[in-house]
Amino acid sequence: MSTKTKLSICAVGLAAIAACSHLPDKVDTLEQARISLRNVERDELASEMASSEIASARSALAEADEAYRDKDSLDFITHKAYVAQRYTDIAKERIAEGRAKQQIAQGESRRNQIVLQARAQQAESEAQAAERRAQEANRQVDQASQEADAARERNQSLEQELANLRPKETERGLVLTLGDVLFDTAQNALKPGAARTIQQLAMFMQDHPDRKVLVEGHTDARGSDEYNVQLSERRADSVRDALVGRGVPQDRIRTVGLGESYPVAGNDTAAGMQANRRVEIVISDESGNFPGAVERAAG
Amino acid sequence: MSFQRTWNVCMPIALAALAIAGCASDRQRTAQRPEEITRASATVDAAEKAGAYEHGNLELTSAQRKLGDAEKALQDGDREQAAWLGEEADLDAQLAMAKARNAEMQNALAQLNESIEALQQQATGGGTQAPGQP
Repeated sequence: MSTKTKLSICAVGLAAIAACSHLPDKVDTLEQARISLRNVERDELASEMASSEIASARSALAEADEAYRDKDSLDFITHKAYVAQRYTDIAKERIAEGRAKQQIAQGESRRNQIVLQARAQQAESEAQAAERRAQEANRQVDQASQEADAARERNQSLEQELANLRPKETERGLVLTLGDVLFDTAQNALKPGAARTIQQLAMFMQDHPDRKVLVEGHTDARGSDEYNVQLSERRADSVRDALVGRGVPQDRIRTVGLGESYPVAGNDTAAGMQANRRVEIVISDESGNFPGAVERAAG
Repeated sequence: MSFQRTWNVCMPIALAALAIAGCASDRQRTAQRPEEITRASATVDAAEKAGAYEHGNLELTSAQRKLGDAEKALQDGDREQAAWLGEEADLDAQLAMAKARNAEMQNALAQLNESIEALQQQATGGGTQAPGQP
């Protein structure tokens, strides 16, 4: 063997030794992968979410360590470290994804709870509002029926009080007719027998201070129109004066003399003429108006 | 001397023959792609289709580059290097997809939390509470 050959063999041997002893004290990427994997393994969800990735990372790391001990090539060790690092990175993503998934499940049930609560609350407040409305409606019904009762009572007492005066319900309202018997012929002075009727009317007006009366005087057809109007006026006035004398304010009494213009019977018989000689008293409504009253005038 | 001469002549020829044989077998093996490359190619495709560009762009780009390098190494006859690059490309693409899926989930979680917050505000401040009885 030539020295040349010996030398070249020697060189190859040295190169081999050099190559083997070229491995650094530690491979940075390998150590980094080890740390990363340790951190990920520490996560409580690691085994649940990424067991296969973590197993792959561990085995790649073990292969890298073994290659390092066997003084394998640095390229292979670096490759295995890269693989271990990648599996660890994937494991980390899987764990984060799994954790978010769990939180979403929790959040969804929480959201449903809130929605249900809100619905229940709304239903309750609607029920409360409905109850308040029902109570209000009941109250209004009660009030209305009370008012109706009161009105009925008032009407009953009105009718009772006036019953003795024999009022007539006409289109002009309640009308009392004080007959001829209260006056002497061609006289305007009330007969003593009229006192009871006037007294009842005065009491009625004291009990119902919101009502007014219209006192209309009427005559039969005997005598001139002018005379009859004046006579009817005087008779109406004397009824008014009698009421005023019993404490009824004068402003609650209107009088008018209508003469012979509004007969209630024929003037061809004594009975008819007697019916026509009269004073009619129209009673106002509670507001002091005569709603059905057609304003009458002597004509 | 004669042996030496013969050795000197034959040795290179033998080496060349060995090299050719080696090359031939290399070429034969090239016909079969390493499974790492095949797998990496499929994973990169999947990551691209999954739209991993947004959240795993770095990893996806690395995967594409390494897949190209692996093909080149294969053409150059370095099957080992090709397999390593293929495996790394596959893992890069897997990571890109994992990042994209995680980002999607985080997004959904953030939206849910937002809607919960809005609901809570509505429940406490939105006047759904019944007014107190007088």
